[in-house]
Amino acid sequence: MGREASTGAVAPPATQRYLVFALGGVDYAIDATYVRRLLTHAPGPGSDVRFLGERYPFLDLRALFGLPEQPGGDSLAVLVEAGEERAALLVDRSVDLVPLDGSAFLPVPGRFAGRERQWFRGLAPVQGRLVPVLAAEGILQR
Amino acid sequence: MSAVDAVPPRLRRPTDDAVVVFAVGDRRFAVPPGRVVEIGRITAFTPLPSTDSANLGVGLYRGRAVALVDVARRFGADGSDPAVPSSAPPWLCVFLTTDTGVEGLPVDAVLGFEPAAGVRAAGIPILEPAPQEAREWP
Repeated sequence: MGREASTGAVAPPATQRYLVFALGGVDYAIDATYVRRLLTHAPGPGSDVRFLGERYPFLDLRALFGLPEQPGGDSLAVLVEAGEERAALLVDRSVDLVPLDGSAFLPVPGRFAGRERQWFRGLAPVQGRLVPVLAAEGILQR
Repeated sequence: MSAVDAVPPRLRRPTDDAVVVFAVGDRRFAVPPGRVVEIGRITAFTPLPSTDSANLGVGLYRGRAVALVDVARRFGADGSDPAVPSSAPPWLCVFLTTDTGVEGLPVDAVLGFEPAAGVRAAGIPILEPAPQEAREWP
């Protein structure tokens, strides 16, 4: 990842760093080990990003999640890589890089039985609310 | 942690066939009390993308992630007009046992027990009983 905040603290083994980003007024998290780069000037839909010789096809998360389009405004591209799959995820903004304990994630309720089940690893309890944690492999499979 | 709102206090069912009536806006719905696990308040709501338009998102309640659903779209006919509180969370919720586990229905108010016959006569939809009634969180 291009930049990483250093806290000087040693994280416990069960804790990983997650990139929290905002999309449509909701905070989502993704394991930072899948994140290769953040681009503050995101390309438009239909574009590809090239980074270190690799191609990252643009993936509009708003469209994937069925959210309303955002008229104008700045956006951020999160370059993610999972195995052989890569994509530039278009999000609204980066929020923070936080340590989360994966063992504390709650399962997505069974009511969510469609394609969305492959998009999320679980739900992270953070300060009394739930933050959806993306499953990088599932997202990249669309 | 979400606080359980004292709404309403413990009620005595007037008749054996009484149902619990609740309101969302100016619409009324009813449910057999055997399907009600709890009535409480969700303080934080997170929208979650879903292919099912009845799914609103999730809430944290008693340490669990609970699906919050639009009562009209969940139990009504396809294309039902949505029935969701007009105010922002925190929401009062009726937690029901269903075939997919416990679900929360955000409501504006719980009105109490009414005889089922009268509720039907008033045209208020009554949610069907679950195959297995349970009063406890799984």
